[in-house]
Amino acid sequence: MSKVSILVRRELASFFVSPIAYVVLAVFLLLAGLEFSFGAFFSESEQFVRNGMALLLYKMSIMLLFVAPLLTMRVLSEEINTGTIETLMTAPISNTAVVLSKFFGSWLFIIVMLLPTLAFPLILNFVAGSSAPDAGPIISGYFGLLLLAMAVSAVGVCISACVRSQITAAVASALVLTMLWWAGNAAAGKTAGSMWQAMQYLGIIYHYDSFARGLIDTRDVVYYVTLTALALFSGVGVVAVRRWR
Amino acid sequence: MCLVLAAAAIALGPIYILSELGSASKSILETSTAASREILALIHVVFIGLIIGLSTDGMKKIRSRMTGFAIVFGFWELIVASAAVALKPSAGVAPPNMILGAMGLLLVMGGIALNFDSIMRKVTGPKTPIASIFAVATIAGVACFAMIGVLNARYYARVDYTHAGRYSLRPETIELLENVDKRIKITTLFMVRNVADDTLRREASDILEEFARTTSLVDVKHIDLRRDVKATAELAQRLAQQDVKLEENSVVFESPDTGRIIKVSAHEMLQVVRRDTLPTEAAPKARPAEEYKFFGENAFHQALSLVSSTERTKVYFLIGHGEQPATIGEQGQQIPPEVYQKFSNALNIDYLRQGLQLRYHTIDTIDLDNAENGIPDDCDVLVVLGPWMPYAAMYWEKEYKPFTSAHAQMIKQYLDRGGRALFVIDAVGEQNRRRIQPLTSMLGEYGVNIIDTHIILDEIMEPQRTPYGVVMVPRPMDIYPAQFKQNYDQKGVQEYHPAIRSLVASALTMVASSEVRPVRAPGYRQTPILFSTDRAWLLQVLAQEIPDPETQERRVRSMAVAVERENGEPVMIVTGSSLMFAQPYIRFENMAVNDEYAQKAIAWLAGSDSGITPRLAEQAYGNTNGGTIAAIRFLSILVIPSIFILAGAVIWFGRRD
Repeated sequence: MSKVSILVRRELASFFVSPIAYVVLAVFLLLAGLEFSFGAFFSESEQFVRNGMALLLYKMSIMLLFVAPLLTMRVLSEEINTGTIETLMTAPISNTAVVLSKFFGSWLFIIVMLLPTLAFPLILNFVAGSSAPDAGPIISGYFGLLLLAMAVSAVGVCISACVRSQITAAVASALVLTMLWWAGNAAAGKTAGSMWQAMQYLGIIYHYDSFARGLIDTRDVVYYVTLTALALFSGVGVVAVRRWR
Repeated sequence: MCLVLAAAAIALGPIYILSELGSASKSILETSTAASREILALIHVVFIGLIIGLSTDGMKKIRSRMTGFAIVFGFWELIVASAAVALKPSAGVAPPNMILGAMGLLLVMGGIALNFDSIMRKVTGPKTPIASIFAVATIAGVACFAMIGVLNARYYARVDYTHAGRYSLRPETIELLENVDKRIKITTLFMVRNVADDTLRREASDILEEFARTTSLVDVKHIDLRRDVKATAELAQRLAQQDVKLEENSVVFESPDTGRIIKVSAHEMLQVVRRDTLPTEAAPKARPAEEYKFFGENAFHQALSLVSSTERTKVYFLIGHGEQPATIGEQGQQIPPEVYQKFSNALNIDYLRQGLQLRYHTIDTIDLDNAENGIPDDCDVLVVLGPWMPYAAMYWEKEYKPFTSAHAQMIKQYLDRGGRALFVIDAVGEQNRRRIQPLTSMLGEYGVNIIDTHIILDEIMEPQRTPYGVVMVPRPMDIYPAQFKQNYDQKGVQEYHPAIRSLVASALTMVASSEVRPVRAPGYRQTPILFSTDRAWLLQVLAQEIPDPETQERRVRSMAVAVERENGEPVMIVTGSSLMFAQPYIRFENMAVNDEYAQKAIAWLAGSDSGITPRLAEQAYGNTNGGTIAAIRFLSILVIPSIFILAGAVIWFGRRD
């Protein structure tokens, strides 16, 4: 595990020296800030403030689907493209350690990206005065974002291991995550039929809905954990195949 | 280019599936959107053309890559075609799916055939075992994911972190579910067309899921009215046997053990509160434009309670004084046919009776002159509906009996020994008020004062010719139970009486109501529950001339009062208009709000109201100003993102140095 932690630190540091990461981070925070400021919370003509973090959290979850691929696109594909993957493959570290370090590095960076958004519920709390917003849905919403970030990071890392080009990795990751989002949306409202239920189960944002409302449901937690596990398992397999080639 | 083509083709698969499923079985060229249809055809042409055309040695490498993509694309088409068949079994292996599947198979076989040697070399090469093991492991991983998913969907737990426990069942509901000893089948019939429908579906499905999780005797099934034709027909047949109609966006509770069926309609579950429909005083600007209030747990609790029980509440309708049921000739009174035909709607309470019977209340009538022992002990709720109602009294008053002191005393004895009653007392006019005076005096002892010589009006009236001359007939007026109630919803819906709790933002239709005022009476609590607007004034019953409304006293007037004992036990509800329960108005303009008021009033009186209040999404309201909002926007949009851009710039330039 010490090897993994060293690699994770290195991976995380590489994010912070990359200008792309800062741009992505700033754009994400800008979009979240716009949604918070001009969304359903404040209205100058009516001058009221309303507790409704659920909508903002939901929109942030969708933003993550497009932001995460941009952050994970280079984790392995850049190494494949530049040839440094050969050095990594010959080093005395397991394939699992390689993949896990990339994954944890990406996940932690997304967590860092989400931290500044904690200012929004604090602002709401300050402005609402005695009628403070309900903390429960906010806590569960952020917990859900952590799980969602975990899943999208894993998918991004897996796809990054499969392709040589960063752009291809980003596009493919975005495509896969969009398809998973679409599956849940397409099945929404169609409550009858096992195929629709299966499609709904695959919905990556469908599983986030409960967290935003204030519910922590084991079905959603297990979904994100198993999706992460599947993506990482596949990623390890791809790295193994590359090593033997 | 290959990747773009493949990505586009993969993305088109779901479009094809969804377009296929969205319509009846038609050819692929007709169901897909124009763009996807053309792109799909173009991709096929390009792939096939490239594979066949790139046959020179120099193009071998490109051709093998194209073949790889073609094989993948071919498999994808097979998957899409199979999924379309699986998701829409009624279409079967229709020609469009056959074409798609055939094209996919052709691509796969063609790709393999044209590069057979190359593929065989790769398959039998030394690196193949690694790739094969990986492929098998991935398939196994996906299978594990699917299996865990199936188990996960069945066995789960959840924790409600909302302050009000909004997604948790109330203790009363949990207790009811744990004590259910009959099999219950719950069927939902949701058709989502707008945000309100989707909100209803999500909230109802969520709560019913908890029902099914609490007891194994409850089975919840969802029916899609458009797709599940057989299940819909079977359900419709079962409902028809009990005179219940199939209704979209409703939930049906059935018990095979008791044979009972209760349908919970959409309006009983969800209320849409639109701010622009409420008077200004009841809708301060801080309210959102549209809100949804879900009353499903209360409605489901009652439905479950009724369906799993074999008991029936006995409701007696008082007759003999011109009350509603008597005027249809039930007691052999001689009503001229032309008169009955003229007023049949106003005198018809069939909907009210049907509604009560659908809720498994047993209905009977009682004439106090023939009741030697008074009101029977099996009477759960006594209904006195419109004695000496003016429109009926105009024509056949000689057939009616006045209320006597003995009648009033019998009712009082019944109430004092724990009985409950719904009184609907119209403004009978100066000439007839003495005929119900013993009744109104008795009601005064319980804290209810009725102004029975005048009706409550707002602006609208229309003239009508009657035997008394031309009379100004009030048109129906909409009243909102929440109107002019201070601090509307600031303290939560719990403030409202159970009879109107789920109707607070609905409009009841009141016609020619008397004013019903609460007064002090020791030992009883009175709660006014229905109010007029602040523009309401009083007009004498059957007046022939209209005074200038501007000269009249205009204020909020109470039209219904609920009375309970000090210990909270219900005693009576007194409402001022019997016409609101009659045919034209009980379901006015397709809204069954008056009907729901009647059902809820009787349920509360009978003790079958669960008392469960909805848990609304907590809304924190506060006052802010333009300066604060500007500061918040500056902070959120400029400051926070800029900090990170600045940090990035510093690190970037530092590394460059």
